[in-house]
Amino acid sequence: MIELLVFLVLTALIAVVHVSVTRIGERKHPVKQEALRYFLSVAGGILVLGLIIQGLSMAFQ
Amino acid sequence: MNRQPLLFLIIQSWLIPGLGHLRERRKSTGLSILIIVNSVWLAGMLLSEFEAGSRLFHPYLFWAGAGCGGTAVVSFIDPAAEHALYGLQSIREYQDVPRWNDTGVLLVCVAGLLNILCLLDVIDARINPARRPKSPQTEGVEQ
Repeated sequence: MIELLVFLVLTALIAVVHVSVTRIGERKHPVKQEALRYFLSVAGGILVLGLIIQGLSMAFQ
Repeated sequence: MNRQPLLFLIIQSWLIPGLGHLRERRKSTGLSILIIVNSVWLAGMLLSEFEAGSRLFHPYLFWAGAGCGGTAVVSFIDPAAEHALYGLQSIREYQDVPRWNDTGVLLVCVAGLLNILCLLDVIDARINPARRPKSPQTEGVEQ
């Protein structure tokens, strides 16, 4: 469980820095909103992928 | 305002992540980088007991962490080198590796790669100032 916590915290930190330095002037949303969207997309995507792999491995055992 | 030479700005940002943004008067971005990247780097170094900055232990991963200047500085001192075992000693003796060693190395690598992204942003903002946000609302709190 602590690995999951480390993963989520690290992903959140990466999201904040990444959004802060890659935003272009034309974007309309504030940094916090974009960072949250980025975090949810990346962390959610990786977790869903992990669950699919876990399910497949359990199915074929 | 007198602008600093780009090379000087890059060296500052490399040595202390976030400093380049602060010197360019991008306070919120600079502060978030300063806090986040340096915290991740420091946590990684402490967790790995400075092994992440050792070219002896991590000859390839070191270069990912070298995106932060601190890693290069640590590699010159290399406090982890005293833990290295050579020859038969390395086979016969158990080498005590900290539990979170791998996580620490990972954190330093992430900090180094994030700082490379920040360095590119500093260079890009200097080369193309039109890219920077114009209104304080879209920027968050900057300017």
